[in-house]
Amino acid sequence: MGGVLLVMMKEMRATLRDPHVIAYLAFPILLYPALIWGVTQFMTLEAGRIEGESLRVAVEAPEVLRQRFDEPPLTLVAGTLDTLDAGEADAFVQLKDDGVLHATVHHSSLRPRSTRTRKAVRKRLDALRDERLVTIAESVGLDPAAVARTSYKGIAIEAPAQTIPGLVAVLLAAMTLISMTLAVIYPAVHVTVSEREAGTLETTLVAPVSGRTLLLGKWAACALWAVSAAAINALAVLLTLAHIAAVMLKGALDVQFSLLGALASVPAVLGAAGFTAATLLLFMVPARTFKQGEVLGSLALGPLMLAMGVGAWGAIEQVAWVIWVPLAGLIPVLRDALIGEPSLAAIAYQALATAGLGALILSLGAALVRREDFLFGGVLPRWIRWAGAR
Amino acid sequence: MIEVDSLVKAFGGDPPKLAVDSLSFRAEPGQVYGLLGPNGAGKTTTLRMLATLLTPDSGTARVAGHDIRSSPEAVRASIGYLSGNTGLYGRLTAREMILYFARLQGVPEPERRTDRLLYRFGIDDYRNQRCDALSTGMGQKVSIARAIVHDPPVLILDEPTAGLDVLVSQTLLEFVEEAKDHGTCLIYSTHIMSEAERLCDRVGILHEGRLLAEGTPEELKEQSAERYLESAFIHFVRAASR
Repeated sequence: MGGVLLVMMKEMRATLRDPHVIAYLAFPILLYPALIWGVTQFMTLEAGRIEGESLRVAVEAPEVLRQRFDEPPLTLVAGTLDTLDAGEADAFVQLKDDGVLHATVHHSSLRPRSTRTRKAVRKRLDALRDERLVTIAESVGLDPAAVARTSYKGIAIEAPAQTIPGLVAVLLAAMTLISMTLAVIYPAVHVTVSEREAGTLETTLVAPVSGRTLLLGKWAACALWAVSAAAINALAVLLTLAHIAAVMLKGALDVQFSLLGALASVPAVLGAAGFTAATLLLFMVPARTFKQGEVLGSLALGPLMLAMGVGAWGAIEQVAWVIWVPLAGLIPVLRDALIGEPSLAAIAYQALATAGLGALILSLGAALVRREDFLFGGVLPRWIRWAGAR
Repeated sequence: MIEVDSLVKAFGGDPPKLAVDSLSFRAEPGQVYGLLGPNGAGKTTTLRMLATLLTPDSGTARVAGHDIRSSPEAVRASIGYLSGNTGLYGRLTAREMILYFARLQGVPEPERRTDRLLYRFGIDDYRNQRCDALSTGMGQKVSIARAIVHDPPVLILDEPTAGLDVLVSQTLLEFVEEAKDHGTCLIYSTHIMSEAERLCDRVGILHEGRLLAEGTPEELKEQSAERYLESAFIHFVRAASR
């Protein structure tokens, strides 16, 4: 165990000094908020511009009614339909009052400002109608509340997993797992191929430690990177979502995740990190150069991303069997945990299945670690060399 | 200290190519045994088998009393291994590099041993410099310190001066002489005859995996009736090629 820790700490230290790895780890922390900040700034500016602008409306109506269209955001202008045609008004309203209001609103569907004016006119007409209703109610001795607008509350009939929080949880789970997988490539190349290329693997292999210890140490370092990347990514996504909900949607997105559920799903995430790290290490066996390592790492991403895709599809489409597919099932499992409906059996299954597969892959690697093809690389398919990885 | 007994190693292909063919020799403590041979003679393969990096197809060897087949970890604990293409961990500092291997080797008080070696090889001022920023000479000193951090009774040096300039090579040759005086058993592979003549007590001439001749440099010159070791080497290789 001491040997494994020693190798792991060395790998962590060396990898931590790699600018690629640091850049990757810092990427979500910087990227997501930067993107959202940019979008928020744009939307705020746009909203400010719209709020600040006056929507010009020409009204043909009795003067008392006409004046009601000279309150922000509407500005009353003189004129008729020609004024709208000439672009000097954004809408032209004809209003008749025979006890009931009859409105005809002319607007240009090609001008966004004209569309906004039409909507503002509609709101003003609704307000006029409400005022009349209140006046009528009071005149016949009724409580004005009797004519108040109907209160409205929508309740979705879908299961929580299919609602917005469920979909956000799927997004969070998928992004976390994808970032975990991507984060392991560089460390996996470093601890294997770079050592082979630099000639340091040879010196390590003549130390009195078993191949299994070396492999476990390298694997542990990669798995730790995966977990760190997943945690950082999840945090960045959560903060970004919180910002979107609070600032951009002004509280309209009511998403609350279960901390207990998230904690309960940690074993499954750890299992996935171990499996991912083991898979990428195995893919490094044939590589002789850093470039080949990168190519093979990218190839390893194929099946891993496919599993993620299956998981996301199963989670969104409510496909029950996906939960039992190792790694893929982690997405619906995490989703359920995050929305407060964790299935402990599924979490335990995913943890055991991914950890078991990872252990199987590591055992295979341990069997290879002393062999010449692990030490010196080789057996690289011709087409990978053709792809430019010399 | 090192007893090599009929070592055989072949590599892939059809038919497989014999890299080492029934090789036997013996080296004693306080002695430098030189393995001389042209490129592809099987020197590196032999040394890698002695270092337990490769498993022989047949035959065996005992290093510091341990069998390379049955006790590879004990063998590895008894050897220091340095080759011309041995690398350094570029992102670790000189001190971290030596300290890491001291700990891997289970050296008691690894920090003290590391600091002592840094001082001994005159690299104390560079202790916190990353290895990828060290000069070739300083890097080679770190490599030597790494190889002997556990004070091994056997040193395996595979063309250790390859690619080094004269001054850096000199440091290494002086270190070999010092280790020999200290009672260490050294296997030194090279194709630089002047190095072999200066350092080696016994020399084995290797060609196409076979040991063509063995003895002290003087004995080899006598056997070949040549004045220089280089001429003796060419004599044996040409005779075998006929």
